Amino acid sequence: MRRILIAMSFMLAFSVTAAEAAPCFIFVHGKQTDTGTFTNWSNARNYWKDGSRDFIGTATKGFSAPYYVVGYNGTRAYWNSQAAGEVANEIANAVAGGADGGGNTCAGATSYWVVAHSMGNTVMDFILGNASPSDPNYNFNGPYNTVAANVSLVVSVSGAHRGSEGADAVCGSGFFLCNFIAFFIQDCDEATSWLRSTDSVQVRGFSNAPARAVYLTGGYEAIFGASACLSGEDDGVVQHASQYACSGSATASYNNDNVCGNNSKQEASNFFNLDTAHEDHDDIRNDTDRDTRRMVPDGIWTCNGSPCSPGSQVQSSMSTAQFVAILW
Amino acid sequence: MLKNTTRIVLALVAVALVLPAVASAQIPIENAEAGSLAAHAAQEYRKQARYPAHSKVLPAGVEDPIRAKRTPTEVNARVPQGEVGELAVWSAKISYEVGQPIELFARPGGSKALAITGEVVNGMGDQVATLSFFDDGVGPDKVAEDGVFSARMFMTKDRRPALADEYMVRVQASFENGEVRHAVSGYLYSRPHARLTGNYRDRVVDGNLVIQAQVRVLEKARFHLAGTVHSVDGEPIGTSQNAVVLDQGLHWIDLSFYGLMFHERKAQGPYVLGSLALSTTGGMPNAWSDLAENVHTTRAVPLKSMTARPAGDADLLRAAEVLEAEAARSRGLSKN
Repeated sequence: MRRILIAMSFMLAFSVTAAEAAPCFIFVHGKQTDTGTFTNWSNARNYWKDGSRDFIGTATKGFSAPYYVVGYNGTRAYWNSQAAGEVANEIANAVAGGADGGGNTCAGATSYWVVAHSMGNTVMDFILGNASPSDPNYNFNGPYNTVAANVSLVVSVSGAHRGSEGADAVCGSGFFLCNFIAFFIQDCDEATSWLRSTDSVQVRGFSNAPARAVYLTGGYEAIFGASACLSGEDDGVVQHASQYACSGSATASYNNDNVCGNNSKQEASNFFNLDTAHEDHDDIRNDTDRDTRRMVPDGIWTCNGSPCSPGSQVQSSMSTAQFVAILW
Repeated sequence: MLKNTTRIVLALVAVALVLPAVASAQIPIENAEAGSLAAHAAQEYRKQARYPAHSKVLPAGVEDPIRAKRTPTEVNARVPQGEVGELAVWSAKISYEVGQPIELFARPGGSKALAITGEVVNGMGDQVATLSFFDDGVGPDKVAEDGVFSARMFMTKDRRPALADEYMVRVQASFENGEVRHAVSGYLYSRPHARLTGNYRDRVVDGNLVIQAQVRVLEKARFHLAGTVHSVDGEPIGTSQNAVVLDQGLHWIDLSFYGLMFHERKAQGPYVLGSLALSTTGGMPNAWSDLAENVHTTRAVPLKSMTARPAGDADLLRAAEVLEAEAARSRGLSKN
């Protein structure tokens, strides 16, 4: 009995310490072809799963960190009240200790990390770039200032910061092979139209620099057909120029070793490179592909005390969900 | 019963002890250690806290961010197995004010196009105009037969927006071999509710450079003004922005450039207002006025009149403290 009590005390001490160290993770999904994630929380939760694999379970080290899953209308423009407005209100609820649709809360947390995939990052750019009274669209349709005041940082996973050439292909009636992209995007709805590469819909045109740091990771595994329509390296839906929030043309062609560094971003501050993974746009958000990771310019990995050379392999079998788990 | 409980507890303890060891064995990291992201963000926030939210210094050598946001870029549409830039399309401006001509361009790569046409589609998906592009050196097409095709059109009066509308331009290029390529561009059609009058003045207030721009407000709205101050030789130094609600009439809008930036960049005055972007906000998309460039040079402001004191942005400093504590806990835990 004494041994049991000692063991239980140890476990309790371990779990309390782990929880104290943990930020609360707030997950924001990407583009949707219907309103399911907005109307049914389970859809939003399942966005991060595939079979037994679960991005959230892995990134939170087996749920040892608290988490909250946001669902919004991924068919509307990133700035819409059912997109940015909904996300801002849900994050405000999370930091106030409220529960998501599954009863998960951030209660007791002092730090909040947003993990966003694909269009979820465009939404976050709009929110965090309009969180100060001097910003162009301050608190446009939600408590953006509350989000910025509480969120510690954002981990951007395959972010559509500069839109997607996939959206161009779908909206522009492109070559039929490009329409493999339609598997993810389906049609040129309002959200897709506002994810085109053209300057007139870019989130940077309607926002200031994000109020909090956005750390960029993404994928470079091609999707047959679709990737042929995208510039340089891509994850089958979003090209590197967008995943890494580069300045200049959103359709510029970049590889892993020459993608824009931290001084050439869509905003003058708060975008930082991490690395890139051999995962495509789909499996990077559900932890199904534990594959190689490579350094990008200004990335996070060091080799023998110096930054690893851009393009070099830094891991042989690590998913992005596992990567997030080692960062906290 | 007690034996079963014992087994379960011991099994859980074993799992708790073994899992981290397995994880670290599978993940031989060198630098991406626990707490590194929190520590990096904290460091950044402390650095950024030297400036207020509305005014930031720019690192040496970076482009003017306000000018960059208002400068159109090409959209290069690829076809499978095709060369880079199979069909590049762009607009002369990102946003056109009501009444201005819309000028669009297309450049097919490789073989010569037989014909390039386009259609303009509104946010509802309705076609509002069709276009033919020419490479004839006439109108917006500066050089004949240079491979760049151009089209010009005017929006009809019934397309006058309440604030601004976004239009998609679908472009199609046809070739002799029957190939057809597609690309998609776009532009904003804006009705700004205020105009810059061209009058500017400057002064130093509490150690900060304040440049005032006069606007004539045509209709009450919320306005956003953003500017970049340059050295006289054109090097961007820092940015400032302001947002105000103004009634109809003449007004001055302040842009306050935080004094510390001039010390950090070792930039003596006079300074040039290198770029100035006025937007009418309150709805999406915002209505953009044309970018004003190099519109004002300040008086020779002595550097010593500028504050060298960090702003101490409380919000960023608080965020840094939270992250520093988190990083310390994470690192302590990972060492255990």
